[in-house]
Amino acid sequence: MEIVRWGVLLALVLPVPFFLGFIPVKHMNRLQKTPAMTYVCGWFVSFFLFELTAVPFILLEQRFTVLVWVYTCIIAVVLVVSLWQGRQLWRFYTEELKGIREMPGHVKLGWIVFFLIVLFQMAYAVLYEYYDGDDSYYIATAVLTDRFDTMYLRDTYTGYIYPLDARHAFSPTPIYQAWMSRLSGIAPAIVAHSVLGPVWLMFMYCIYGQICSRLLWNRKNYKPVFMILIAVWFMYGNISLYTTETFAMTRTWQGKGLMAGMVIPALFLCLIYLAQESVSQGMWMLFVCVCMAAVFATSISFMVIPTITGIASVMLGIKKKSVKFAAELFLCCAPCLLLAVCFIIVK
Amino acid sequence: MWNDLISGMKTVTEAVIEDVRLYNNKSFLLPLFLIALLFLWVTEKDRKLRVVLLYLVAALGVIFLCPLYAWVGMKIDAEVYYRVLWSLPVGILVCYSAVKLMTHFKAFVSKVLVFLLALLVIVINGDLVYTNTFHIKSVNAYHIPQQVIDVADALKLDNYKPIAVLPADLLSFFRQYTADVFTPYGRNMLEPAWTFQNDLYDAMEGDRTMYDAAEVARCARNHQCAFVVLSSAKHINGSMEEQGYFLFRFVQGYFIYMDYNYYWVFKEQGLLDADVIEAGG
Repeated sequence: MEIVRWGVLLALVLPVPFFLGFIPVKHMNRLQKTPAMTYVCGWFVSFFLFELTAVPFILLEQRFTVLVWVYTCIIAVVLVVSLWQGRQLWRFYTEELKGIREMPGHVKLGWIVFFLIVLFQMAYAVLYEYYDGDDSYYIATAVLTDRFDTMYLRDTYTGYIYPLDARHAFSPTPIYQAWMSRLSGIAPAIVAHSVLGPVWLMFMYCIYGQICSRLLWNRKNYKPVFMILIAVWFMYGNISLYTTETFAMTRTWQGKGLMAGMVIPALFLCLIYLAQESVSQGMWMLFVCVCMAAVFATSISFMVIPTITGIASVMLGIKKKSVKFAAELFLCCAPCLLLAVCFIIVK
Repeated sequence: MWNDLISGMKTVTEAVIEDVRLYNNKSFLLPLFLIALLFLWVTEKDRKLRVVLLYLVAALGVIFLCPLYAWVGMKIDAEVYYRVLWSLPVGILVCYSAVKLMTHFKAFVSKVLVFLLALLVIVINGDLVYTNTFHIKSVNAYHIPQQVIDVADALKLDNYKPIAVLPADLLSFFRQYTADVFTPYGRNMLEPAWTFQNDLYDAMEGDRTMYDAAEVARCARNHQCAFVVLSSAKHINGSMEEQGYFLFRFVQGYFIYMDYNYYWVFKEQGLLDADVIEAGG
């Protein structure tokens, strides 16, 4: 039974996000059709769908079980569509893997060093625990959600009934983890600390890998160098309690860690590609998902995302000499703005 | 009015400077970021990358430091305004600059030297996350202390969710493990900044070396606690038995007492597990 539970949980964090990524990746250009980009897209599609589904259920004070059913069905349907749509992508992945053979020896060595560093970080995340006070809110929320079948209607500290916690209701990362816990039957603390901690680190490096592919598209041999530097940068990033790196490395499973380590870099990844002359449809899809995933992660995004998107719209609009492009880019954060309005009303 | 506005802006500016100072924490992080930005400003030829990595990032930096924007941000939540700084991709700029600098050299040795220099700068400037934080070897997959799990398992009843008061050292972790036991307060009491107050917490934690059994029992009853968990690291002035409690279990250095008042009521209603009935007599 335990094996089945772990099998379900590992399926939810490895193949499911990967397959969900087929839809946007299918509509991306050749350089972006990589397994890592697919995995990145899949997570953001998953967050996007969860945010859209969960927030109304939470605000309407519906039972968690109803959300579990609805969201699981949505994921199942999207998964089937995704698998069907992405059946031609395997060819690109095989080509990508074949490319490894053609790499010079020192580049291969560079990649091995990078993967060893990441493996070390992931192993450390599993074998060592980090005390963070906020877990007694985030993980406790997931525990209460799963046990009492309510969402944000219990005081996490006491367990007593409580009015709706509207401040956190718009960023339901703990509810997402409760969903994983409910489907797998594995406790939320294990899901967060022992599974999402290391898996989301891998997810983070996949995002940086894609940024690296764009920055060094014409200097491929330097890619492992960049990635090693990034991995070391994160490892030595505990400059203060407040840095991106501290949050990404020590609170990976929390919404804040997700925002610092994954959402913001993914936003820049999209913007780098959106700055190009021809933008693929898939990149637009990813950008919308990332904007929504920011809200899913933390409520600070109500301010940060429109700011970044707004300034990026102006700058890219000027660069492309296109008001239409600027408007389209800014419109991508419209759902985020809409949720911000709801947040202000409900709060 | 103008004076108020100017003084308000001055306060916000000071708060922003303080946020940046705390973020940077006497390191070379922000100067490093500015050097990388300047370096790429001079060397980056790709216009698309320039727009996103240089112009956009520079504009974001200016906006985030702007007192008016910060005033709005701090109105929403002053404590977390520093998080806007996450939007500056410092790591990407610094590492990309290092790689770009490597490409400027022809000789392999020079490239290696630049790479090593970059590593050295990152390591010297930064702090290793694993040695500078509260990382300890985990003893279970939950990543919470084993005594929390053992105490929680002892307190759980098959047919009822009791209320139990716990020592402060268990509060941060207890709810991460179980929702089957209510507590009169939680980790919220441990944050002085949140200024929560609770007479039971004062009775439990007011004296660091001793419990006053009578006071603990009185407050625990006021909060409808069926169980009282006391740390064996502290002395008990008086005895819980004198206050109408019995020792249910001793788990991992914690005494778990049950209130006889609740014991009889729960027993009558068939809510107690066999081990509790056996301990209560």
